[in-house]
Amino acid sequence: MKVGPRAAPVMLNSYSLTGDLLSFDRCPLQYRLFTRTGVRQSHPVQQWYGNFLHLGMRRAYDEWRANSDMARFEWSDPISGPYGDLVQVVTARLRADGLFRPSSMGVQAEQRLLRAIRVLGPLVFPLIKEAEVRLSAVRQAKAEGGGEIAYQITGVVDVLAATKFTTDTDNALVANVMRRLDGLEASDEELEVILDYKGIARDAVGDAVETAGRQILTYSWLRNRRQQRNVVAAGAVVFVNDLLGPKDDPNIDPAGEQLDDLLDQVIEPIAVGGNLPEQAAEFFDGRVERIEAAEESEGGGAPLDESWPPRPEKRTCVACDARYYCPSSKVKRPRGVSGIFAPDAP
Amino acid sequence: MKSCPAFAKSHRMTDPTSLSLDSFRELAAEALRVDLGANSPHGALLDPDRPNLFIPAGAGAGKTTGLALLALQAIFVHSFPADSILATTFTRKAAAELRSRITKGVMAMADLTDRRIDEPALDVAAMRIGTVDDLSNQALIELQLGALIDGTVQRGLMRKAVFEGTHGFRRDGTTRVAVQAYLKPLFDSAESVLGFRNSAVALHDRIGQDRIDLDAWTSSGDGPARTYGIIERYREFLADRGQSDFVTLEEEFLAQLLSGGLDAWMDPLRVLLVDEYQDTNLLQEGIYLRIAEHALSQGGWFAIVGDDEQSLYRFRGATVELFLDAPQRFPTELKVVNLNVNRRSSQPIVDFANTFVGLDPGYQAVRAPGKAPLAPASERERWEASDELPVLGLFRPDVCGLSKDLTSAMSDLLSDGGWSIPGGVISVAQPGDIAVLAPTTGEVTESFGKITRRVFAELADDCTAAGVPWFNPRGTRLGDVPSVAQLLGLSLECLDPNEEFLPGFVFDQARGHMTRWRESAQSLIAEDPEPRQPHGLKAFVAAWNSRQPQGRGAWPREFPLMELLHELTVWIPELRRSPGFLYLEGLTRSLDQLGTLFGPWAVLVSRDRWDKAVKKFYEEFFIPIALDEVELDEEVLEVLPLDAVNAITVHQAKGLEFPVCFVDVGSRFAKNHWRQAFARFPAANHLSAPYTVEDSIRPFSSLGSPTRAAVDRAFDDLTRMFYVADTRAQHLLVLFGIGDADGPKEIPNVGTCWTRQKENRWGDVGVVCV
Repeated sequence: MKVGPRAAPVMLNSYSLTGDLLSFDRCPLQYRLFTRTGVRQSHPVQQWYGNFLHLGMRRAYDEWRANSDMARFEWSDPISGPYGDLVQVVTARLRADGLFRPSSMGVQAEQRLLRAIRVLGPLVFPLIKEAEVRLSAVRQAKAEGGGEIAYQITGVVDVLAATKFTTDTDNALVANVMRRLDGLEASDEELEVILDYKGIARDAVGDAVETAGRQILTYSWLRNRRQQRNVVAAGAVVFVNDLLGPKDDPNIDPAGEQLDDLLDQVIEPIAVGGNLPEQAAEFFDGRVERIEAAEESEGGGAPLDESWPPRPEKRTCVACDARYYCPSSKVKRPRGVSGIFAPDAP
Repeated sequence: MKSCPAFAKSHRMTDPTSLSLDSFRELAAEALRVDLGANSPHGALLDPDRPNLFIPAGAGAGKTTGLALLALQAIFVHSFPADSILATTFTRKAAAELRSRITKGVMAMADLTDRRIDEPALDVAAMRIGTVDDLSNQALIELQLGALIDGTVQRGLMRKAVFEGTHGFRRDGTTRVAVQAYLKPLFDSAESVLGFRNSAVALHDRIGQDRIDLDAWTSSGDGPARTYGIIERYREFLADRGQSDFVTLEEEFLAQLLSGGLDAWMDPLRVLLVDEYQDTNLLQEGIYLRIAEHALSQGGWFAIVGDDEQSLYRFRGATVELFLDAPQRFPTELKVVNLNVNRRSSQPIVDFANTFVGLDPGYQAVRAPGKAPLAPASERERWEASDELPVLGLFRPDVCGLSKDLTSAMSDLLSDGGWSIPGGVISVAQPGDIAVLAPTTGEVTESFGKITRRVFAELADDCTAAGVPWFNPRGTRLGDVPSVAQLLGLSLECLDPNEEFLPGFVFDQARGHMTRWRESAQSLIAEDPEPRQPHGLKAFVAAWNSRQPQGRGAWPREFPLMELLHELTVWIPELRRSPGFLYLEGLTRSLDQLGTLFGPWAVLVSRDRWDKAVKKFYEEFFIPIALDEVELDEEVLEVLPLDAVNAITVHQAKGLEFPVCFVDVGSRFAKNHWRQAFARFPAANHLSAPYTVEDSIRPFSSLGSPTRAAVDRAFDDLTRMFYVADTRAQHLLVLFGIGDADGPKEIPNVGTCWTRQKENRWGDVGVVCV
């Protein structure tokens, strides 16, 4: 008699929008080698910076909520005063998670955070309905190759703003979004706007706006679904790195037209009406299918870089620990060498 | 799935979304493919009065199905929204399976009742399902409280506390002497600094888990008071760093639940489902009591499921009495529903399991009163043929012969011709259908520098030679994995080729391992592996030795050790594919923790303080790995591979099932030696933790002193462990160990059916030896 096969347990896979789907989208091979395995990378600078900004904005909001007359933060070198205290709390919190302030960008990160708090805080904080909102849902969708896929998708929205967002036209951020987004009209109804902070400049990556926009649209899908109606009226990506130019003084805030111009650069309004959220969610259905197909291919014995084809981009490759053995790495190779090559010491 | 909207609509009650219990019974039976007839065990879980449930469930009796059924009932009958349900279980794997089972059930029910899966009320993603630690951690992260540390950081901080508390572990220091005197009777090895540290960690954990009255305990003597001084220092370190270990995490979670800090988190909860309750500790019980109280106050209910026979985690504070006494400990009446129909195993395996737990008269007193024996399922077409296969015994005089014959049996099972045994010929569809279970799957043991190869080392070699895919990540010490040894050896060769910076004192065991790592690195260098462009491995290592950069510019002031490890993997492809990831994860995690413990500079190769940096790497990275202190994170392996025979510990195997199981009941017992008696036939005068610790500190807990003697508890635990191992098999169970072709060696051993009265009952259990 033949017994078995023991079936693999039926699991409903769960994918984080940022941790899995966007990470896979950035580079499937890097996602397989590091994100999925938990193998630490040697330069988690971007991870520290992203967490520093998000946690810093969250702490600043919590303080503002507890006392909206709080002292105005100032940047100094060495950093001190109430802003120094906030930075210290955030840095210690990240240290507890094993993320250390990198000497290469610590000062710059602190200046950018200060700028974000000073410029965006007065505009965003009064509109916040909820900060760091966890969203999740089960997606059941048609697979491209026929049949159905089902998975759980999770995400954390940085800021959910705000009751009567569209009527608060004295707010420069609201005015900016209203001006730039077609079809967003003033309404007394409680509508929500999703804000997402990005620790990059708008032009840092070719498809930064498209990717961030798709992320907000997927959050909108999750949020609308939970509320059972279309509650999200708009989205806005905030490119924090564009807030402070290399010659700007972090203690001098832009105002008036200067502020409007800055917001034009920093903010990317995202239309979330009609079928757009569903389309974004469908895009990630496709990514889930690809991830699961890659798993299957790897399980069938195909080489990793065939199952998880790398998506080389210089910005990603230079900080990737697979750069020497990734066949498509965009790092500069020694003259006359192709494919895998040996690193220089050190 | 077929949709029956008309049926569903006609059966709905006044609430348009809720079903009558009878309708639900019919639909859920189809959705979960389980018998829910009025007289069926699972059918008894459905009760119109919505009682709180106490569910003793035997091995293979469908615990997960039962919990999924209750979750579906809450949604489809009681109209509780999905986010009102909280379900906990013991491992992340089990939690993932429970979530999957509930999700599939909800999807099927939605289909059958013509509802949409994307209704918020059915949103299974909103359910809170996980281990109690994960749920605590998640809730506290939302409150921005504490970061969770793991065992390595915990041990590092405790070592720091030990050194501070004993003035550098001074041999004649008052505290060291007093604490050692206190710890020595409780733990095997409190003499060395490592043993001292490990004992302090274990004691700290248990104090929290048993919710010890610290004032009473520390007032009971100088030993406890000084020991707690060290533990308190450790807890201060944690607090200062904003970190929690698993115990302080649960303590904080309970404190927040009780103080109202988590009211918003708890507010939606109406239904609490707890799996594996037999392994709950007093601290966790406090958490469950509070959540249950809340659910009841909001018109909800709760259910706890468990099996006293499968309680395995005493060493993590599990107190099986909390399960057995649950009906008295919860402040409300609990309806008892027994699940005892085994839907997993063949009749001979079920019969053997029932006989095994009934053998020892000393064990009967701790079994759940009135518990029915396991009954084989009636609808068992799938297993009909295997009912002819008896439980087998495979015993040989030494581990080499044992391994050879086990390998031969596995090879036959995987062949087209199959393995010919009494009762028939059996083969399996794939290697993953075979599991080899043991209390420990370690390949070697090391004592005072002497290395002894165990049967698992022989099996690794024999299976490789016979072409049987073999997977035993837990049994292999990280530093013994060939690719890891190469990587660590290469790192050492780069950093300190002449052992100039080795710390003053290094255990022989660690020194021996590091020498072997260097040898394997030198062999690799001699092979001149790819890539060789623009230069080879030898030149790379030489550049590190001379500190002459191969690229442009000067040698950097600081260079991350993590980056050096990653660079060296270029020459070790095994670490860049499965299961090498598992090992690389362990290594990089260990380095990460070094940074968490000592700060970012601790993981940097410093050009100007090379000696100090490398010495620190020895102390905190290389030597701990050599001493086998870095644990692999098996959660990285999402599921056990199907393409290899899995060697797993009984603890890992909990909740799993395999078509064919080989269970190690005595491969380590060639002699009746007191040193290994704890693992087969405990002796009162050679007991250690956790039994000694329970006796010592439980008087200071509301649990009170254990009512059974320590040696009896040790026997009880061995019985349970072998019971769990034996009940993982679906079709064929093979017990193996040292002995001869007729049976096991005449050495008292619970696993081979000896009672604690030293009666050998092997002849009564019907095992057929091959």
